[in-house]
Amino acid sequence: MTQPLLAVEGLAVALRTDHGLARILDDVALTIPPGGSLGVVGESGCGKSTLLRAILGILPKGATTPSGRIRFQGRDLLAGADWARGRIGFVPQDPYLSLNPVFRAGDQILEIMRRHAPGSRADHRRKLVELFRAVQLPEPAAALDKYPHQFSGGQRQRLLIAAALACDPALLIADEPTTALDVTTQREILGLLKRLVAERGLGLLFVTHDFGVLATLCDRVAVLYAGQVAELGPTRAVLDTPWHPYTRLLLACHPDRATTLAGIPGTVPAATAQPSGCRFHPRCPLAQPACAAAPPALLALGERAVACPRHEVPFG
Amino acid sequence: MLRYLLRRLALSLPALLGLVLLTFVLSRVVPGDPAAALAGDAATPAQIAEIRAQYGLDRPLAEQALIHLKQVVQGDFGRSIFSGRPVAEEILQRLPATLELTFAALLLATLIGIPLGLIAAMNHNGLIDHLVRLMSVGGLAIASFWLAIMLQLVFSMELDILPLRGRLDVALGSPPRLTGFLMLDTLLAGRLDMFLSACRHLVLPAVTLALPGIATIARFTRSGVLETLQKDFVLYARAAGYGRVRLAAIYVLRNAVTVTVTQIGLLFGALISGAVAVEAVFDWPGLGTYAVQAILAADYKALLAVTLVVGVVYAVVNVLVDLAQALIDPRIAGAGR
Repeated sequence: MTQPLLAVEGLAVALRTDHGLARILDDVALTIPPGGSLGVVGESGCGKSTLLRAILGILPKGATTPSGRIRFQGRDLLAGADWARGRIGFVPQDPYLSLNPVFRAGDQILEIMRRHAPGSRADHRRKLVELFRAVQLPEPAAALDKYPHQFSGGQRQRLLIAAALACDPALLIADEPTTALDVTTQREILGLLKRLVAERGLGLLFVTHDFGVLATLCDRVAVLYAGQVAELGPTRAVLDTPWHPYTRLLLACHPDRATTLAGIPGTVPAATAQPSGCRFHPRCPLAQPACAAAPPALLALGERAVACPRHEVPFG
Repeated sequence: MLRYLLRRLALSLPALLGLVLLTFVLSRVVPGDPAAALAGDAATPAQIAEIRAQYGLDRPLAEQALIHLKQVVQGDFGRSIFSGRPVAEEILQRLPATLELTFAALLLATLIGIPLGLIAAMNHNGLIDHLVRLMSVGGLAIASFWLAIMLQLVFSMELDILPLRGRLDVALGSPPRLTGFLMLDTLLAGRLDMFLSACRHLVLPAVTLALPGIATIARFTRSGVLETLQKDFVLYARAAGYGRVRLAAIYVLRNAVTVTVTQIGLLFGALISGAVAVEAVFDWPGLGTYAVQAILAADYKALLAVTLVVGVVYAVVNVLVDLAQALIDPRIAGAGR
């Protein structure tokens, strides 16, 4: 078996808050093989962003030292992620807020390259213009000297994709990169990402709450609930026959599939007050007394895994 | 950028016009008859009336205002009621001393205040942060005339390392007056010893005047940096692998100082008025001491001129501040450059 590009094992992250310790992530395990793509889905507050921040080494100030392991290309990331900067490209959520308005966009990307890519500044400029062309930014050479406010939202996201690719990464991490954009621009950006990832053989970790996006971009999917992995498997299989009751309800909520706009009763529990046993049991239609007693193990079944012993029971 | 600059300049003209008229009206509605003051205690009503006619004080107020405005535009501020010399000449004599002092103070306040605020913000709620906050409250609370005397006591009287008063060592004579700025005149005269003496004389008054400025600038820089650190682009820059020092000192600071720069412009007004007290204590022959004399002598010509000159300097400084801001933040002057 080849060494995975990214391997997360038993990752737990807690945040010190005024209401006590918030357990944001608990025993999370995921792997991405070289060139593989994994989508992470879940409701707001399920720990998606914290997972990304743990991998990128930018956890917020109040976070406890994470336990577990994050290995990138076989090397530990938790002890310090600086060595991996540039090798992991990051596309942030909001292109409007992610570039500093008072510096030229080109200079901001060149600064990343100066630190993490070999070559001279002239090399970097040349390469960046190439990248601007690859992400289909209009007038790539002139774009280097423009300020962020002189670009549209879609163009800014193209800039940020170019920035993520600037140091020839092996892994691309994208945090809902299209939510701030209008629908037609979303399609273009997703198409662009898909093409670039395929052309360059990049690994992809893609966070979203949109199943439609997952299906086009990721070959595997991890469903996160309240900081834990509820279900993991090939995207097609999970979307067609979801196992975990949470995944089933989540998919039923999707406007394209929903017969009624039901939603899932209740809300994601506060991370300071996680329920005992299975964290989903207060909202689960299949819940039994045993579900509140002990947390379910992640059952591996072929290519798939699910954290629910009653995954074969249909909703009644 | 040029158009932006011209627009800012044009906008300060109405403000200055307003200042001229307002100060004129104020000088006339306050109690006290300049003609009587000029004529002296023993003057007869006939003598006072004669002086009144001589200075045009018997004409309607609106007419006087127009004459005043016309003269001011021509750079004619009239003669001092007190000394009889042209006010413009007296002010030109003294303005450089005050500008030298206030610019030195402004420079000190900026060069010390901004790094202090930055360091405090980077150590948010740490020991350094608390010290800087304490210091900035102190800097604003301490009265400058008291601080001036304390500094004189310690550094001039006790330690004897800095001069007590004046702008230059009397024994050295003085350089030929070219600009009135001793820093420049001494260098132009090629007298390094005089230049050093002028620097040494500048230290205590400038520090006294700068302290509240340091406090203000440090506070605004600190809160600006703290606010900027919360921005998404800082998180993104960290994720993308910016260096720590570069992130704080350049990437964050440039955003944070836009507010500070506005404050520097406003601060200049406070510095000029603060200079009155500081000049008095250090016997600094500037506009501040001149204004005090003019007030005591009810010399309204001199007072009007001082107010206007200070207003012009203030307006110029604030145009410069607008320019600095446009250079820092490209969004201000419109589409880039």
